[in-house]
Amino acid sequence: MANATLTSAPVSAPQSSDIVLETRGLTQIFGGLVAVDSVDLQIRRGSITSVIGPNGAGKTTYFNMIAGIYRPTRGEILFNGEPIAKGSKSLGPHQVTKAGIARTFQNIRLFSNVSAIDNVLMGMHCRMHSMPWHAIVRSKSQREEEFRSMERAYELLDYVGLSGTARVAAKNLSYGDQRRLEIARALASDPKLLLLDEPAAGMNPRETATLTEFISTMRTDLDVTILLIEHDMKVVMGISDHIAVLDHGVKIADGSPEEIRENPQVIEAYLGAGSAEVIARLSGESTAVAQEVSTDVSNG
Amino acid sequence: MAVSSVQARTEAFFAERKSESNDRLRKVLIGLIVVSLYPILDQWLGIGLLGSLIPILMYALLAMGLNIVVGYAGLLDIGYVAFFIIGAYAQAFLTSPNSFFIRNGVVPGFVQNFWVAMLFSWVLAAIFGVLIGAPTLRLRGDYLAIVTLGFGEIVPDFFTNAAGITGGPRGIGQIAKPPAIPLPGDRSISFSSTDHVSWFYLLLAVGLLTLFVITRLYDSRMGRAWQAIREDEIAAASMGIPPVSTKLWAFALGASFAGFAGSVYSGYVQSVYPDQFQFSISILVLSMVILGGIGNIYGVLAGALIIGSFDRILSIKLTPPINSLGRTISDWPTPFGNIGEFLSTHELSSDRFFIFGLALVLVMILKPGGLFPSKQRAAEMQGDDDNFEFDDYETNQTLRAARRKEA
Repeated sequence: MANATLTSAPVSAPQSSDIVLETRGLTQIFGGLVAVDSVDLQIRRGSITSVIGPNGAGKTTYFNMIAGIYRPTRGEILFNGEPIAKGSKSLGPHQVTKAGIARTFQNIRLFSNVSAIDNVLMGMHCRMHSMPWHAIVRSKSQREEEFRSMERAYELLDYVGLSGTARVAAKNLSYGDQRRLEIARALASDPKLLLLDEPAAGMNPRETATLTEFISTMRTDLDVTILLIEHDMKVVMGISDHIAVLDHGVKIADGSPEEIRENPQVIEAYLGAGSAEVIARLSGESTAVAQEVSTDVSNG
Repeated sequence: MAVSSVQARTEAFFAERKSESNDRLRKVLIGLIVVSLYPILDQWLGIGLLGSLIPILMYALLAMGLNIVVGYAGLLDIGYVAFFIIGAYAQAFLTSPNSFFIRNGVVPGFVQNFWVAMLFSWVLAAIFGVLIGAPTLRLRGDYLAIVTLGFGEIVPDFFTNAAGITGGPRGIGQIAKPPAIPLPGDRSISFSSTDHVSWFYLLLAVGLLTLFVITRLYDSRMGRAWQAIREDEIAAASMGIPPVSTKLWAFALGASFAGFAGSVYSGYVQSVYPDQFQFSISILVLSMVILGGIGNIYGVLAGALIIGSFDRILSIKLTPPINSLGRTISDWPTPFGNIGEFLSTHELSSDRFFIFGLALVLVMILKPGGLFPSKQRAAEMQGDDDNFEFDDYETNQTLRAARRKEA
């Protein structure tokens, strides 16, 4: 997928801490429904962290709070040690992006009637500076900025493997290409933290494998921390350094893939009460079968 | 895969865009030459339509401004006339000796000049665009449309009722016209209401300036932000585009061009009163934008020309032939009663809204992107029929394979 190299933008802020994002007691209540209930989570810089959980566990709500779409009811979010969300002082989505967090969407939300390259340029908005009057007189700085941005946009398209489709309207791209374009558009804002909401949804096994590899490469190439929601356990177990499990809005487990795989609470959240024992008994006979069962069922 | 370098492709992209814009510039210049020769032709052949062209050009100015709001940023504004009024009254306040502000000595002398006042009106309308936009632009879609409709009604009512300042229903007269421009020799270009030729060129110049500014803006960071907001506001915000300020820019710029048009109008008719600014102007201008090709400024100009010339020329010129046709067929019996008698006294201009409505319905059915749709709208209207996808991945693969085979 990555058939071109891309250098990351120079790091501007001094790397003070190892924790890039931290949520403290993050809670979201819709009416009477507690969608996310005091979730504490720390995300290490440069890691790939996955948030998993059964449907309706509050994963996307958790994501939307980080991305600034929802304002947390309680708790706070710290990004690079700075609070980005705390009650009424929460940043809006565009400010969060400017601070260095970019995202993709579970159901693709590209600017569908706009060409691929323009989609990427639109993602670059908050890193550009020219004002309307610069555009009217087409000042030198504005022209240079347009040129540089366009170059960067082509680089990003190359990076995600969309070299040939720069002028194609986003909606005419294939599904897999749209997913990649969404990643390119998110990368356009030079994020330090990339939120991927079910990046492998609707992909076939081959596409999923390529994507998994691509996400790992991207982390090292671009020096970006990745937080993802995913249902496909192959992806999650394959690339995550760290996994957090939500169930009914509560974080029930948090640890390395191996720890999560064997955590009885997680197995019960996915398969129902008592299933942990069954799996444990099965795993006495054959670990491979047990794992397959657990991944298969949680895929569904 | 052999792909040329990023820089080469970027250069190619800009080169192509440059040649596209040169191409467009050439067309605009040709159009401009044709249009600017018209007054000579008009006088030479004695057509006498120049006076009717001036309101059409003003409609074109308004339509270009509204296109920013509705076409580029996707904000349905059905009270656009509010900013036209503000521009017109601003010009009146700043230049008429009867104005409340001049009588109280608030307006410095140099501002009372037509050209300076025009700049002030432009800025004032933009400021009012921000003032009206700031509280309303948090609304979306239908709600925004309703609120703008409200403002479109409130503003003329304000000017009717604040009689102490605005002169009430009688309005303000003696608005300044542009000072005559002296030419070598004894002649000069003057701008009285009967000097159609000078007004025509003045409006043409203002129109060109508007066209220039708007096309430059659209092809920039701001223009892309508008498109992004129009496509998907939440996605745009998540990509770092501030929704409120982006929409405010669109609203303020749209308002400023309406103000520009208003100030020129004010100088042309030399007296303003609230009844000139009916709600129907908002609708008429909106129809021009939609009929011509929403989002495509040249389409919008065509729309203004088509609707404007029907409104100002055809409906008047076609009435006598229809009347005489009515008289010739007045003794023909029809099952619907005497059509001839009806036609012989019928004023076509009273049908204008019926005809515009019909035209809009037909355009929406036959060519939903307008007569000259923008690239983006064309893509939108091309619809998802051809690219329809199911939620199920496997089915989509089969579908795509079938489409590929077809193509």
